[in-house]
Amino acid sequence: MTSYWLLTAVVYVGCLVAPLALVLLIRLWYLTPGLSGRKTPALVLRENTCRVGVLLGSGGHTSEMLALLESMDATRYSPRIYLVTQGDTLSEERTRVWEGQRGQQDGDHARIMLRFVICQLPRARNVGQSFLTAPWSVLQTAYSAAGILWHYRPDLIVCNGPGTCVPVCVIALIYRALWLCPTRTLYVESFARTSTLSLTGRILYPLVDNFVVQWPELQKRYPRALYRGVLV
Amino acid sequence: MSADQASNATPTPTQSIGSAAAMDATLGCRSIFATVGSTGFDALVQATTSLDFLTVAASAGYRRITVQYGSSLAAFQPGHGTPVVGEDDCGTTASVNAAAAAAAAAAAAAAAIATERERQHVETAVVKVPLLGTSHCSESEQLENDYTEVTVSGYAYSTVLARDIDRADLVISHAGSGSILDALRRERPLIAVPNGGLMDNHQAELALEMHKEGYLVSANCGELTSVLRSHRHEQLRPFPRQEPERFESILACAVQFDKAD
Repeated sequence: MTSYWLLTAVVYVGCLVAPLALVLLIRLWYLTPGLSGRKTPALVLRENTCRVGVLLGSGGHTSEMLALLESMDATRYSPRIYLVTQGDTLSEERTRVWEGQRGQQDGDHARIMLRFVICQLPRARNVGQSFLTAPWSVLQTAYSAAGILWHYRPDLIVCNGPGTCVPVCVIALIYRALWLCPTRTLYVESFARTSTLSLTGRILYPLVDNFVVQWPELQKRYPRALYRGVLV
Repeated sequence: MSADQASNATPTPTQSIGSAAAMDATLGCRSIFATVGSTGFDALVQATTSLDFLTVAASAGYRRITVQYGSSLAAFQPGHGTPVVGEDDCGTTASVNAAAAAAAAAAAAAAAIATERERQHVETAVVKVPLLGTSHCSESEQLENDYTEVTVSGYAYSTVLARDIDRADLVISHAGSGSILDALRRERPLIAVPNGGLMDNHQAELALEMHKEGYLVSANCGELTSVLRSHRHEQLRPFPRQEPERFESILACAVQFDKAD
């Protein structure tokens, strides 16, 4: 009797799960620019707006991100789903101030004010946290990010560090491999990086669809990176 | 350092501030804003509140110093350190005369503008410093004993740093990219001080790169006074303005809109 169930399980795994896993792996390989060398085509949107997920790191990362947002058309890139790391009240406050000003500028205050949401995300690795305990907190971040991405289904994720954006981009990639949502990921390396990438940048270079640097020397070293001068 | 060395480095002001300076001895002068960013930077807070620095700043015409000290509250001790010239009457002498009262009024005004969330705690101290050489405000100051006063205020964090940057005539900041951009985008002369205590040294890299381009002065804490004396921060190139088209062209690589209306 036991051998019968065992055989059934083997057959199921062999015939159903394994091919699916293989398809998923091949698709993941295909979608990862660093592995397949394929350039991800731009996502063509049916609507006139783009749901954009914005990851706010902290301190300098947030400053740079808010500067990048200045270059984005707030009515077109809307709604904005902000991902803030837990306990980073300063970034949250600054974002609310920024959105408030934007709402006033655009006149239609009430409408614009409703076009953003701020979500909390556990930190992937605290400053000084051991690399041994990091995998656990990365998983927590990934779990939380998976829920948020599933709920809001952004068309585009813009991030610029720190490590918290790695699980977010990985989840987006997995969702795309599973045909769940076609999210594109965009990583902008900090303006502070003139000749070397940050650790987050080095991890994300093969994973994100569009990788952006702000100094020419970096583009020479990382040919897939986009460079259009200083953006912030 | 000596008094005549400082007066050599400080050019005699060609324009007189006159009545404006006379009207308000404490507020009429130029101001410095020092910021350490979202963490702490003890050395920078110490350097910008030391008696040595305040003395040089006063002689260069800066009479108001605001310090955003982050977590470095312990390092915020206006007028600490060994006095440069003379020992008596140096240090924190709060509310001794009219100038101190004016400073207190200024602090009250600042506190009134700021909401309770923006500045949890504003500390203000008036520091008497020896007057070196000629300065913009000398004629309006009481010159008894060749002392002048510098108002030093400090707070931990603010969500509206921009306002303090806008008010300042010189920004001294840690070399974090955010703070550098905040100052340069607001077209303020900037002295960036890389934090040697941080593990990764890319802060210094950025500061050096920008220094080479002539957009800011990169200095360490010990060099701040010599930079102020040399007036290098007054001969900087303006940083190019932000161009939204650049990021728009990058976004077009990721998402495109079907309908172009």
